Amino acid sequence: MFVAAFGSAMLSAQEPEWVIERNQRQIAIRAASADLPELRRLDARVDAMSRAGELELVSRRADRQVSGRAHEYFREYYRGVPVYGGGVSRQLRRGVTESIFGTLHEAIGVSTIPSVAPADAMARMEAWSGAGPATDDPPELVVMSLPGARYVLAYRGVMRDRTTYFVNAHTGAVVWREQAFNEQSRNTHVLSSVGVGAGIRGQRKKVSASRSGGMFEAYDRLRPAEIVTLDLRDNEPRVDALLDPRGPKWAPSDVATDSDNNWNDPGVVDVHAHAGFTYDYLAARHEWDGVDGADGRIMAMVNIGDIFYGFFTPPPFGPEKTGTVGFGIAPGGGARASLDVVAHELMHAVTFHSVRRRTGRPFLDSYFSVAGPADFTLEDGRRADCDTTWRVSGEGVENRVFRLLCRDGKIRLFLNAGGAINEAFSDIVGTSVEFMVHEPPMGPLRADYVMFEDYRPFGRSLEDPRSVPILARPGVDVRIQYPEALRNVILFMLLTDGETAFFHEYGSDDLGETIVRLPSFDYDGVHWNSTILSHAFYLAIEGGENRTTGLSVTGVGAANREQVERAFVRAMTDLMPPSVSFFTAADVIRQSADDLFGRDSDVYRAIDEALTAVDLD
Amino acid sequence: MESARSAIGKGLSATLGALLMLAHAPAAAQPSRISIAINGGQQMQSVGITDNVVFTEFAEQGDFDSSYPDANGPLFDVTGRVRLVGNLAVGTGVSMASQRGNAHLTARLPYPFRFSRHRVVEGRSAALQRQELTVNVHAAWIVPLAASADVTLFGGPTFVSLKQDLVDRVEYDHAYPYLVASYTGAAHSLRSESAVGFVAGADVAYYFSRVAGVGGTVQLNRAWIALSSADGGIVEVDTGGLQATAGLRIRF
Repeated sequence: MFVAAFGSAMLSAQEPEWVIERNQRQIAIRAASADLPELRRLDARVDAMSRAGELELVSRRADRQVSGRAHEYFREYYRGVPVYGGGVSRQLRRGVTESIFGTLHEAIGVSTIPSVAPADAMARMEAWSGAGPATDDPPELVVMSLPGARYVLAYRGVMRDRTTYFVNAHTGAVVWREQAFNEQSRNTHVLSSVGVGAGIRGQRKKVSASRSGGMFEAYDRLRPAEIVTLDLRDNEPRVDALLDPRGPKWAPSDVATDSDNNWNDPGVVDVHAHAGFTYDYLAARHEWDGVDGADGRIMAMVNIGDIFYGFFTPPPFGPEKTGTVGFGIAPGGGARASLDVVAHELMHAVTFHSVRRRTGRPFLDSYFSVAGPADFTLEDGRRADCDTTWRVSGEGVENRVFRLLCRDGKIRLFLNAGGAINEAFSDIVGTSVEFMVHEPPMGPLRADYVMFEDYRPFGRSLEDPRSVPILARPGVDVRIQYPEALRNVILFMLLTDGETAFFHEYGSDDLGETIVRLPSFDYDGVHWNSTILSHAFYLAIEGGENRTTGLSVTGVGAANREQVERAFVRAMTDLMPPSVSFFTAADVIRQSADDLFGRDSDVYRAIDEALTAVDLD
Repeated sequence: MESARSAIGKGLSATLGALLMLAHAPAAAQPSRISIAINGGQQMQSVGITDNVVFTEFAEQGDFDSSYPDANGPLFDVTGRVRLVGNLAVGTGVSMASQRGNAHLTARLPYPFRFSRHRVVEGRSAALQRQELTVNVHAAWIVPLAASADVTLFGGPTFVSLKQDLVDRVEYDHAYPYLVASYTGAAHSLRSESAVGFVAGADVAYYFSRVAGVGGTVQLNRAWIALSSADGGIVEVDTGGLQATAGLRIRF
């Protein structure tokens, strides 16, 4: 009934009352040179906090594309303990502050002296996960922000079940979990040798292989970053072992092979070729080297058993313990490895690495809430409100009583904005790579704004999100559409017992006006809500009217799509703080467009209009 | 090629016809029985070679065009004749034309990662060898012009041995993203083939003594040779050309 996916509440003081709860303890930092007084005020605040030890400079890097620019990231500390997700990105233009984005926390008010020993916290994590720690690193002590504007001192540990756990350092309770997966809903080598094979739709593609011992391996040595595609032959224990951070690393016998370089496995062909195309796109369009920005080896897995989604998992997981992408079974059989999906998963890796190397943190889930009704009617006709109790068993709890998270007698409805932004950027790149490789118009093996259309009749549409119904899990008769503006974002109720929280299966797609049973959980709805930002990407290029808001956008036109792509992707790779709201993300994208093309440019105007058209003004 | 052969065939017929007409002309002073011509000169109007080699790289066909220089150049020739009866003689000649020149190459190189995105590179090969050694046997009609001069018309088959460097592979540099490539050189190897052709021409000699003199020859020397191309195809070569030489004349 419930899914255990949750995150921290990062609440903004600057966002519209009708969407985001104001919370004076957490401040969204958003300022650019267009608002010079605000920028100077925040700049002075950053400097003051740095002097006081409340912000610590984590990195300072020259801009990769705009000369004279540099980017700093400061991590927030509370009494010497890092505040998880807290910090600011500051861009400098020849030493003068150009923009600041991030999240800071005030009046945290928790004791930073833990009552629980790290070893005990780790034991608690092991009990929850049923697995040991992923690395030898001790759990990290952090200050966590939880739903309900509550702070806790917590230990953070990554476990071998590919989940990050947070244990209250005073009580020992597991208070939060984050998936270490981005899932897409459902040297003996001496010679490079390009082979050929047909993908899942029969299209012939080149396979950049290597010759080894009389066989050909799906091991691309022609690109600056090696790309290795593993064929796990549906050996699920081997898949688990390779993903396990303490498991074995990949062996030559794991690599996909072919005897004559005329490849017969469409899944291998698609994964390997499409990973290469994605590498090419990132390098050519964005001057980004590989997925980690440093041309580290890219690992991909296919034929991974009874798994029906594609995924990215970060370090320390994966066959080399450096992260990996994997591709499960597509509807109708074959690998879920269409070009847009492979690029989507690899962009998750880019998002992870680019944000982490700038900020020391990966791009995080970030949760926002809106006030819902005082009560609502369940499908069986019973009424539920803030006092209704729910007994929960499983997911680490045993027959405990939970209630809906409420405030002032109103049920709070939550949105994982960080996850949705992450998914949006992956769809944006998935689509953009399609446009680099294929020709329009839309359809299988064509360039379009629809995801996964190569292996199923419909998928998320960046062009017309609301034309696509969200698939419901079996037995659930719910029909809602993907959102095309923030006002129809899909929100979840949250159940909590004061320590642990779960998403409820009821929520809203009209800002709490109506409560509906949701089609499924979709990892906090991150894929569903991604279309808000990815639709803005579409509008900035192609233009058109957002039917929900009625706002029109004059796009830059398909011939100039590269400009919009560069502005969006640079926003993530070079500017984005690890924890942001939709509004902050939108402003970071605007800032990126301003940096690259200027505020008077058509592309800035188009992007600004498009973001405004999806309620991100 | 057929039209070229036809034109040269017609030329050969005309030359033989002229020899037959001269055979009925009244004889002048009796020339010596044996004559030897030692000539140096120039081969002209030779025909260049073109080749197209298809290869497979990065799982896709590419090809390159080679345009070899013609064989115009210095020529060394020795010819000897023996008068049989009246003005009619038979002779044999050996000539050698040898030179080195660069081939012009245009290659269309497959792109490593996708089909139908060939890169085009152009370049010149290193100096390539072309050597034609011809041995001809001919019939000749010697027309005395005076006691110290004569004109000889001749024609007959030629046996040609050709040695020719052909480009086997175009070499290039490219680096990721491989959108362009740059020509760095070409690998070549020597082919040898022989064939039978024809020679027809005229020689004018002036003797400043009873034995020695000087003279000049103009002759058309042609043969058709098929060389094997790097991809197993055929490269057709028209050897020889119009040859103009001059040198020493000796008679006995």
